[in-house]
Amino acid sequence: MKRRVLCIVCLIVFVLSACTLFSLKIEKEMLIQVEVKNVHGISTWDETVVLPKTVLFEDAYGSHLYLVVEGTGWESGLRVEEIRKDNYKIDIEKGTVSLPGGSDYCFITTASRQPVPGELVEIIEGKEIVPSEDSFLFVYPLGIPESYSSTSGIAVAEESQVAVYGTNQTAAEPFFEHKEMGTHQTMSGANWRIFSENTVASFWKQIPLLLILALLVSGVTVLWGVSFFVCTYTYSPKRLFIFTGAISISSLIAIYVILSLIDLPSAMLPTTNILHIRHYLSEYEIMFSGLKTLSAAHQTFSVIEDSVKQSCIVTTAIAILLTGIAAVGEWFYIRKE
Amino acid sequence: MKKVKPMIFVFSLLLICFCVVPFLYIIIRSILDANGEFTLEYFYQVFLAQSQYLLRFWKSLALSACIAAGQMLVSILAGYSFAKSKFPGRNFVFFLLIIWMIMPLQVTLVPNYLMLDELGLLNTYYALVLPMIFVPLGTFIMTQSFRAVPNEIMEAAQLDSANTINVVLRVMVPMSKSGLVCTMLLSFLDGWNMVEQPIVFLKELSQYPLSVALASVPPGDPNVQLVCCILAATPPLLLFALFNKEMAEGIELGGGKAV
Repeated sequence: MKRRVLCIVCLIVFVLSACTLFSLKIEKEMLIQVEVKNVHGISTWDETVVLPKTVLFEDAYGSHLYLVVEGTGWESGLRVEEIRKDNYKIDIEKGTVSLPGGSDYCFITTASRQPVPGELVEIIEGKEIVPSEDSFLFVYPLGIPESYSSTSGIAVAEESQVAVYGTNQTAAEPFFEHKEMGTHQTMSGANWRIFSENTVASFWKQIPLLLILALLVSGVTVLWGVSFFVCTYTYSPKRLFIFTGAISISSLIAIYVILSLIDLPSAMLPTTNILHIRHYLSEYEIMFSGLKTLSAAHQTFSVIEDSVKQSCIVTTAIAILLTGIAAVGEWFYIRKE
Repeated sequence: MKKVKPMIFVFSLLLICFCVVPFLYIIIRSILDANGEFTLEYFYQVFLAQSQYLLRFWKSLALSACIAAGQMLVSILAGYSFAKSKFPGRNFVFFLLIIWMIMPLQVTLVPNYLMLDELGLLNTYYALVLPMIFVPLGTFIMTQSFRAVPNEIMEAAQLDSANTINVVLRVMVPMSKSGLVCTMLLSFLDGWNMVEQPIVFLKELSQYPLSVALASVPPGDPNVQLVCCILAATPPLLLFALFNKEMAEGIELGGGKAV
């Protein structure tokens, strides 16, 4: 009985250690990157702060205006705070947002994804952004609007009723969809989306690494499960625990190394839960709803998708094989004793 | 098998319910959202979304392990002296130890604070570990455990030219395993559950162990606090599952013949 309890204890320690490593990485990956505009010296309530309308973030619940503030206690660090809608006015004709002065503000002008009030942020203003070549996919679920005209920054390669595919020679990294929407205002439409080919490719190419992580954790869990059933049949379980323990420690080291190689683009991540599979599926659906109407772009993305699928299949097969060999080896070793 | 009276059975059942129902409540609320639907979102918030909960957990575990290891060392040496050595005032000193043991923690909090301030150890983890290492409960348990070891075995070892350290480590300790495990468990639990000492001896919120930090988890979602409670309850539960037999034997020995 004690041996079995020890197996469970070791498994829980392994899972907690793995969760610690994952949480350190997830916290870093989910850190939203923002550009800010500092407004200082507006010391009286009579004066007004005027901002361009592009600082507003749109979602299903309307427009939002965000600040960066310094948190305290458990919620320390730079965090997002939303300004209540009563406290500012939107002038649609002038395309501005105005609110009273009275304090120093640090507005979020653009972000790598939709900010969520209370979450931590990383300010990237002031850091050198190196422009590079990138291809953008513009998707218009309700069709390309009549007022559409392509901007000078985009060399349109392919066009359909619901999508436009073009190259941008001076695209900034990291990709901020909100910022690009502000830059290419003349191409705007209802519920339109912009996808960056570099960002999407970078995300998909890291899927095999994510799969390896999942398989490492599952594999070690399976091994401890086998040890749980097998440990009562052996006279001396020391070697069994040493073997499975060594594999667990090696897996933790491998998890640490793999996590240091992973760098997921913030634009592809959900706003709250990184494991929100529905978000990834819906992004994939939106993207391919536009791609299927464009032959060349669809081919480019499909090539990336196929190579990722092949890597995943090979990785899964190898992982299952190795776990199976280890588990069967444990079983036969115990039976031999 | 002896028949249990119905009243005693009902009373026992009620008692079990009072003990178990809070745990069940914690587990059920932590896996149900506001609409009563199953969700693992709160476990994600504690175990994956943020590292602060798990980092505090490991910090608390390391603190408790240091306290347990230190107390075991002190208890073994002091317990052997009280059990097997004859020195002037031994009984009186042991009596003082028992008095100190039954004194509430708050009585020694201020003297400890003044002493640690003089040593310049306030606002460091030494302030939590050092006073806990010298808590008398472990010494009391080990004294009783060593008293149960016959002197003849000790003398036989000494005849084989074993010195005092060898006698303690190779004869007394292996024969008092249950007392040692009991001391380790109780000192670990003391360290894991300590609340007053971190609040008094430490200033920064970031230094607080999990037992104290739990109380200041943001109340935005109480279900997250419940998952933190599960995290905090895990090490004591696992240790008890591993060592419940030794703990019962050790407590039994501790309640044996006093001075």
